[in-house]
Amino acid sequence: MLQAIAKKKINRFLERLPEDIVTDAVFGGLRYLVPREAGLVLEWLFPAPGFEQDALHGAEVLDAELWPPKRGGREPDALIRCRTANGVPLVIVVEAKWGGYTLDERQALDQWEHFVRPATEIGEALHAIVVDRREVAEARLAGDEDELRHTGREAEVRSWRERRDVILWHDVARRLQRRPLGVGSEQLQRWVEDVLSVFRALGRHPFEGFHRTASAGPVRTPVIPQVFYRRAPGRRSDWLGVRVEPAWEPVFWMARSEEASG
Amino acid sequence: MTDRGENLLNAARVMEAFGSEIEAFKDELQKTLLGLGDDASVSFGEEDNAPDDDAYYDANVWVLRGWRWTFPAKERRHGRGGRRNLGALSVVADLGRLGSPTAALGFPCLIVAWSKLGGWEEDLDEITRFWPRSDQQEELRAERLFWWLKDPSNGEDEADAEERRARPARDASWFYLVPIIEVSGPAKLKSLVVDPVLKLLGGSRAEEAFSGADEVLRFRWEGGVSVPSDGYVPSPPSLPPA
Repeated sequence: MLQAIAKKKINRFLERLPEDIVTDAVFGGLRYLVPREAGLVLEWLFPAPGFEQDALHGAEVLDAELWPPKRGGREPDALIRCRTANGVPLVIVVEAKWGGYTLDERQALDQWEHFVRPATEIGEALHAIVVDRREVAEARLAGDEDELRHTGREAEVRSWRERRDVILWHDVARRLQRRPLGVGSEQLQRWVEDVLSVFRALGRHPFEGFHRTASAGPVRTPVIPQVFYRRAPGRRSDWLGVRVEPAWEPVFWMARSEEASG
Repeated sequence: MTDRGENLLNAARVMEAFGSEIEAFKDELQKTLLGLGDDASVSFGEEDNAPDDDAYYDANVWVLRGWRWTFPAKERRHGRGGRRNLGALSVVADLGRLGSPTAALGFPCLIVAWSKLGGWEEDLDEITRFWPRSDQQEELRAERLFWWLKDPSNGEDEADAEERRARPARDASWFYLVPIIEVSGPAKLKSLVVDPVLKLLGGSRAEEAFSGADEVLRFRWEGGVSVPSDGYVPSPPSLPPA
């Protein structure tokens, strides 16, 4: 599917359902990866959950389910069950919103009450809300928090905040793109590249310079002799067995002239 | 594994990483150009006129030594409504095809080129003897801007050199070079690739257009051909231990 999206074979579906397709592209694949490699992807995506820095370091993914059965009338987009390096159960609840879509009223709060908070009773939990417009999501979450406060559950507000991570799709692409090279298997790296190609096809691929190119070496290059511009005009020179002549006319002009005369 | 075997794997990884980053570069460039909007005096459309990939592959079709992206430009017509085609901005990622600037300079460059209406951007794909440039062909402005004095489009434009020299930038053909590795993020993409082009098309002189763009490569004429000026020293290539 990733390649079908990247190569624009299913554009008509993307126009209607980008949110579900992108969610599947990023989180659906975790189900098929080796547990530790899927954990690596989560480590890249969520480097610093509020409840514990590096909580996902060394974690393994036991299962990743998209659109799990509803609880309290709510269906998150993904439910990822993990085990931390210390053996603690960790559940990641993902709610994804693409483009102009935003959280419904109480949507995140219901997920906290029925999915995230129960998970904290037996281990740890992270509520990942992936959006395109952070300020809109934060405003909705602030309204949900007010509702908790009005019922005297201030401590829960703090607990939820510590376990909540609002990130942009742009951040998802950026974090995957900036993953360390040489970590994980070749298959994992290839899968991540395909996920990034989906973002690229959707115009969400971030540009951050050529840092990965620069850090991917060392590659030992032959020294290229700088003969082209040091040569006296009109003389020929040989480089790597190729005879080179100076360009006195733009080559495209010459090429067309030759074509016309030939 | 032998050093040479490792070298090959690293080369492939570098190209994979570069492929990912140069595509992101192109997306950012297009987003920036389209973001200028139709209210700007010059607006750009989405990339079109894709290059002939044969011109960029090596003979065995294993390595892609660059790519060209061309964005058509339109000009707003004051008081008359509508927009007229103006020309095209081409950006070539040059990874060292024989005869290209990169092959001579020893580090990868972007060729940022403007072609007036009826231009020659497709011909940029065929550069086998593009470099060095000749003072018989171009004027060098502010040490950085190669301004065509002859007609790069096969004699269709019969203006003489003096007339070409006097034209505003939007009615002329020109290019400049940027070391790829200096484009270290969106801000540099804007300051090195987009802003100088917009300033030139807006009528700024070359000196002004390149203020704030110190990484744009400088040249001078020596013996009638272009040679690099002092001012930009690329990082030396990593060499194998003896």
